[in-house]
Amino acid sequence: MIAERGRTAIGAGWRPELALVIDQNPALDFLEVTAENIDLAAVPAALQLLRDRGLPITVHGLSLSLGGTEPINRGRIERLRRLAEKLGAPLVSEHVAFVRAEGVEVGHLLPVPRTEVAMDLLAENVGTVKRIIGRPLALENIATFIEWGDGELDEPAFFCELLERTDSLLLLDVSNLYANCRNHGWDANAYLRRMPLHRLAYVHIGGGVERHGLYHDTHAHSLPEGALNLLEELCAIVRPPAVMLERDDEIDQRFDLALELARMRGAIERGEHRRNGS
Amino acid sequence: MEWLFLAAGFLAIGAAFVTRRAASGRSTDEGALRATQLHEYEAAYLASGAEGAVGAAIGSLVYRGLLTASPSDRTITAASAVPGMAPVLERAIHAAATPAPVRVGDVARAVSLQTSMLKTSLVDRGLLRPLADRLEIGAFAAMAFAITFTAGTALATLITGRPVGNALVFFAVGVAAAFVATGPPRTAAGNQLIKMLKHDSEPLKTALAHSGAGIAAGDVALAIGLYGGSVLESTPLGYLVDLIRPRRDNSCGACGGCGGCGCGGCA
Amino acid sequence: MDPDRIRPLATRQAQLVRSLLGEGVPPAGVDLHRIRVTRRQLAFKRWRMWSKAWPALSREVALEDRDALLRFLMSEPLDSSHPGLADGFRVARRLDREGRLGPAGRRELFAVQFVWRERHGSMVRRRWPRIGFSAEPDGLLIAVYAVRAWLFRLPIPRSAAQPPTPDPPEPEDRRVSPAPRSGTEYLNAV
Repeated sequence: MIAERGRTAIGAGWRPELALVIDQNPALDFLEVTAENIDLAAVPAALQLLRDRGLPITVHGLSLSLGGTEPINRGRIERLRRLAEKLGAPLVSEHVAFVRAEGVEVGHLLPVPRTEVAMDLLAENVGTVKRIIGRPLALENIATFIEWGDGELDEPAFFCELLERTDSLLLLDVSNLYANCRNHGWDANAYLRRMPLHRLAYVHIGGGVERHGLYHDTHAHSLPEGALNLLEELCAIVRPPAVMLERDDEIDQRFDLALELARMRGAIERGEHRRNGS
Repeated sequence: MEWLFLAAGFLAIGAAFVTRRAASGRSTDEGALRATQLHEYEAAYLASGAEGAVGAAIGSLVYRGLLTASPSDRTITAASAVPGMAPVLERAIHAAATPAPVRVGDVARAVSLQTSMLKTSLVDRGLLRPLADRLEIGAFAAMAFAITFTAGTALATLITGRPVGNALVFFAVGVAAAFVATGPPRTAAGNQLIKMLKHDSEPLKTALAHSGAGIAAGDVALAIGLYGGSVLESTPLGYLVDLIRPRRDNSCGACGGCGGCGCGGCA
Repeated sequence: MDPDRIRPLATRQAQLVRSLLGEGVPPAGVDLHRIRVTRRQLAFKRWRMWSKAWPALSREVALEDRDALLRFLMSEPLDSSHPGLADGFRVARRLDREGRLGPAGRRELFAVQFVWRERHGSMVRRRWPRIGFSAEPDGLLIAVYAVRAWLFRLPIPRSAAQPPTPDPPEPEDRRVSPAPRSGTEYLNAV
């Protein structure tokens, strides 16, 4: 979909601050745009240039609130669909999360309790979205400090069942996984092995920082060794079709995209060597 | 029947436009143009003349901290030594601002030798038109205007049976002369190259407007040269916009002040 | 889905959201400390969003004003469609009412108001072509809106009686353009 056979594609999240370095980096195989940050009526010319060059661009949503109890806004889904069509996106992705309740917007991805009711709700909403967008949908795991405490399943089992029921793809965020394992005391490697990796569409990785005993997935710092090790671990198990760097903030003259991509590639290659028994 | 004379006038203006365009030459092979290497200050001069090149250089020097700019008295002052390998135009501007501040309006005159060198280079490469060619094109256009207007007025006179006042004729000749005094400064190849450069530099424009990553001093100069000082509007160097804008361009650009994301807003 | 079946879930989700906005206790089983940390994270995100949408205004906001402005923003509902634009609009209008809106912020506010208007707490793009004017110390801003917007500036010679435009502050690091104070720095400060 995004990648050629036999090689993990390398990508980045497109941000206006990164427009120049992305344009100048021939090593990028694909991009992802955040749907809510692109004006449908005025797609940035810099992005159009990349699309015209044939670079695959996926569309990533933030605000559908698939796990929310409020009815999904059809206008938002339609907007996603139109943007995906405009950019020729091979797939669309969203989160297993909710962002609003009782009409109040939070502006932040919140966890869904891992219960049967929540599962049924998610399945219904995902089905609605898939029918409207008309292209493959990948679902992402989020980073959260909050745990509901009444989960019937753990996250890997929840994802397995949800993706199976909805026949959706997995967007595995290894940084989110890393953050949650650190903050909730989970076993990251065990978690990784139990995720539905056979449905893996692509991978997110981003930077973060520890503060007051908690790890914050900020997307504003360098890739931590822990997240890179997890990426390596993933690549030792399967070959991800594609891996993408997320960087949202602290993008200035000091940020070195090429270096971060190189570190990412290094982790992928180390994992590949281990998988191939080299 | 005044409309007949008005129609003759518009027809004549149209004839002048068409002749001017035809005489300006046709587009060049894009492939050949892509091989053209332009220095950022040559691109700036090609896009917006000597003042554009000077503004681009000032912007680049301030970006690197080699000059400081004072909007209150519209001056620039040298802050640090300029590297020996810096372009000639930058060194000349820096020298003009050393040791005392110099008014931005006086800089173009102080570096006229360096900007005329840019112009010569562009003329030699067929991207700018020499004055003789511009006058020739202007003459063709003026002739087309005069012939068309005279013929049209004569026809109108025959139809209406009324003579045309001398004042009207003199007015028409004056309009023609003033309007088509010279041909366009850029050749067709120059126009096309600027269009290509602006198209290819959109990522730079976007990144600079968001104070993004990977922007070198030469990139700043190129962006200012191609798009005008308004490209800095949302950046920490926004105070330079009014200082370095060419006198003939009063625009702040397309919504540069509309909150970073270009009036569309971000999420 | 059957509304009765999802009602308990809806109640708990609403309770979580309210606790994050500082209204009420979190749902049973959810750690209060983690709620506080998430609330700070929300604040950081919200600050970052509007700073990016209003870069000139965000650079003008004084450090000592940030806490008060953030508390103000967190008490206002988030616009679901254009949160950064709406929050920046609120900040600009508040500073303007208090007479503390700087020249760059004023220009940004003029430009945004020209293209957008606030309706029931959300930002809605204006439809019809229009022209607007705004007086600045050294000139007149003219805005034209038709599908997209253009901003023009007519410089007006300053009389001797008028004070000159103040120079920008010296950047701490001359070699790098001073970056706006980002949400990450704010996270450290709050």
